[in-house]
Parts: sequence; structure tokens; C-alpha cells
Amino acid sequence: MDQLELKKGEFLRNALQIFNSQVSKKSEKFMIGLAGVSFTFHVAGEGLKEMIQQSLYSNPILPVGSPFNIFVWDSSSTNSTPLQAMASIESFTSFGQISGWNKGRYLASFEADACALSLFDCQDRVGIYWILDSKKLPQYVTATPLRSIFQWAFRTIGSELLHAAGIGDESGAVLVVGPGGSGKSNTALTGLANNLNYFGDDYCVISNDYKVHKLYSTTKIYPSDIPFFSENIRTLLKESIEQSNKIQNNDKLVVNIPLAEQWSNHFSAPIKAIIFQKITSIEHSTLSRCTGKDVFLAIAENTSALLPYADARAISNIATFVRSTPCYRLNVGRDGRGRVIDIIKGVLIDSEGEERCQPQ
Amino acid sequence: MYYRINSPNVVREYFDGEVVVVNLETGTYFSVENVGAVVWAMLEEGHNLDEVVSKVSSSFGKPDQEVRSIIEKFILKLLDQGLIIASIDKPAVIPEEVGLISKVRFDPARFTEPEIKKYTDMQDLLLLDPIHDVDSSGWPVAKQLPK
Repeated sequence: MDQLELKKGEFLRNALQIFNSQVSKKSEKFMIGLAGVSFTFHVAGEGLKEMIQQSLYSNPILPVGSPFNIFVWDSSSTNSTPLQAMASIESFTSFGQISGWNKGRYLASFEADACALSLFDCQDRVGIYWILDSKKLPQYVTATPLRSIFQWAFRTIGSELLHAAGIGDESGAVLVVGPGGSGKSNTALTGLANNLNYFGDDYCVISNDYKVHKLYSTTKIYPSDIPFFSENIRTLLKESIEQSNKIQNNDKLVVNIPLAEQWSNHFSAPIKAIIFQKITSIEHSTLSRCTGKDVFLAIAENTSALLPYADARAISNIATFVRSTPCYRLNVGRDGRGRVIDIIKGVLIDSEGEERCQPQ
Repeated sequence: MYYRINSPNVVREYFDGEVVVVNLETGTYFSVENVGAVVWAMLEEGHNLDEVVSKVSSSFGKPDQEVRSIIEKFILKLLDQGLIIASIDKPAVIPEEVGLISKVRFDPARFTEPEIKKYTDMQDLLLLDPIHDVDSSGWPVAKQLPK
């Protein structure tokens, strides 16, 4: 093992030592199942346990296999020693990357405006999420916490955390991809309001058997958009929106999406198709088959923008997945969200029995 | 002169006859098609500049001299973006990289100057770069903005 890896290992062990000696007595331990994997959380710090439990779709049936151990704490509310930076400021590069920590056994990323450090030991399946002050976490972190750690953990078992929405029915699911502002959330929420199974509107996990898995149970919506949601969605989210109104003052509301009773045992589904969605000014929404390139770019580029370290393996995994899955372009017109859901339901039916291409 | 992909920082995927190139270090995505895709595949297969010129000339029915100057310009762009590295020796080619030219789709009747299309959606997504808005002491913590 080279010197850098030795130093990285030492840094992670020191961080764990701080947790064990100063924080563990104040911590709570709980296990949850996510995307076919068990996670044991060791959490201390004001509001952090609630943040984790409320933002995730936890499967009550824990998968077999050794769990990932994730240690989460903040220094401020636990009154513990803050971690010292592992490198000079020049080593902290754009998008949360830290020079030298993007490969090997030990990985790390840093969210500057949250002052939160993610550390991961790929071999021992240990993650650390250290925050300076839990009360200062920005909304994008509280809505979808631990993204880097989940990304690394899932990658060790051949799954990928993707920037995509997912909706489906009993037969399977479609992934909806596109850049920010392309209406993924709205489509996913409309699907939910139309009794489809909701897998996520921003991030989903795909496994190497081409299934989509639920992960985050939250969505972020602008209060100004609420009047434009259908009555179904407003009714569905009424309680969550009211709760959010009470606690959030920022631009977007973090809204919890309740697990629909009909789908309470459906945490994953085979992916039938990928839909590349775009908002247009045309009258009627249209659907057409499209090439994999646009879909690949939409998934890979946006995913790597929002999750640091989409490495070569991730790019290859995403490319293989896209090549072997039917891809469609959905131009959303002015004929309303109901039409979009009809189209997606049609894709779910039409893709029934469609041969999945063999990966190249 | 030979060239090789600037791995491990750069990876590529072939889609529908085009090449999508990713610079993992900068998070930048590029696509290359038609003449550019032929050149990319040949460089990746370990062919030297003369062999690439010869292949493109015969495929598109254009004189060697015209093709050479255009390809040299394209290669300079690839070097400039850090996507390939020049090499005096023939790079080792793994078996999976033989026959890449068959994955490329090109139109022999459309000889156009090859381009690298750069995708910048990612930059649009991130309205701020929090890492570079940090203090220089201790933990990189966000700068206190004046009230």
C-alpha cells in the first residue's frame, strides 16, 4: 500500500477514534434496508437521526449479508473535537472532490457550504459523515443526506445512484431523465397521484440486474408551483406541505412523500425503459424512440455534476445500462400532465416482453 | 507519431456510431462524430497519423494533403482538451480495442471538418462552486458573506 493510502487509512481511523471516545455514548444505533443492502447507522447530533430516518424509504425486511456501518455526527451539538482537514485548501477541488481521495480503498468528499465531510472505506464497508454543525445544514443536504456515502456503498455491490426519477406499476418501472427543470419531479409526483409506484423524483438506485430501487422519500418543490399541481397531488401532499410550511423558510419546500399503501411492499422493480423528458411549447406531448447517446449524457453528466466521483466504472456501468434498455424521448406539450402519465403507462405496457439488448 | 487516450482521467463510450468522451478530472463531456469518430477510433486502435490520414482519405474520397491538415488540427484540439496524449512509441492495444472502427458510423459523402462538441449542462446545473468560496484557514469553511 502506498504512503497516501496509509495516510488516508490513518485519517479515517482517527476520525473513528474521535467518534468512539467522545461521541459513541451519546449515539443511537439503528438498522435499515435500502436498495437491497443493510445499513447500520450510529448517529449522534441534534436532528440527525430524524433527518436520516425521515428522508429514506426504509425496507422493513432487512437484506441478508454484512451491513455497511455508517457513523454520523456533528461536533457542535455533541461537543466533540472537530476533524482537522486532511489536506491543504488547494487540494479541495470543485464539486466536492479532494485531491488524492477519489480512488483506492479510502474515499472522501466535502460539502463546503454544509461543512460536511464524507469518508468511506470500501474494504471494511465503513462510512463516516461528519458535520461541523448540524443546525447549519442546507436544505439540499437535509432532503437527500449521505449522497456520496450511498453512492460509494452501492457501487461496491455493482449498483449506481443516479440522478433520475422513477415511476412504475406492477409490471415494472421507467426511469425519467433530463436536466434540471425538465419536469422530472412533476412527472413523478403526477404518477404518484395517479396510483403509480413512486421510486424517487431526483435520485434512484439501479442495480446490476436492471432494477430501480427506492432511496429518498423526499422531494423539493417551490411553493409557487403548488397551485399548478393537480388536485390529486395537492390532496396527497397536503399534510406534508403544511408541515414543511411550518419549518422551512427557504425557497423550496422539502416535502416527505408518504409510502403509498398499495406499493408498501414494492421497493424495487425491473426497469422497462428510460424516458428522456423535455418541456416544449408544442400543443400535444409526443413520444418517440431515441438513441442512447442523449440518454447517457443526461444521466451520466447530471449524475456526475451532483455526485462527486462518477468514476470510470460508474460511466461504464451507466453506459452498459443505457445500451441495453429501450430509450424514448418525451416532448412534454401543453396538453397537461395527465397526458404524460397516459404515455408513460403506454410505455410500461408496450415494453412488456420487449427483449433487453445484450450488453456490448 | 502515435496517440493514446489520457487514461485513467479520460474514458470513452461508443453510442450509435458516435463517441462520447468524458474527462473525469474536469467532469466535462464531449461527443465526436463522423470524420472525428473515425479518427478517434483509429487513434485508440494504435494507428499512427499516416495510417489515420490514409484511412480517412480512402473512406471519404479526399486527397491525402487536404485530409492531413484537417486531421492534424483536430488532433491538436484533442490534445488541447487533455483527451489524448502524444506518444513516439506505438501504444499497447488491448484486444477489446481492436475493431473499434466498426462501432463508428460515418457518411462517406459527408466529409466535414471534425469537431469536438463540448457539453456544458453541468456548469449550468451548479450555480455556485462552493469549494472555491471558502476561507483559507483551518477547515475549508464557507466565507461569511457581508450582511
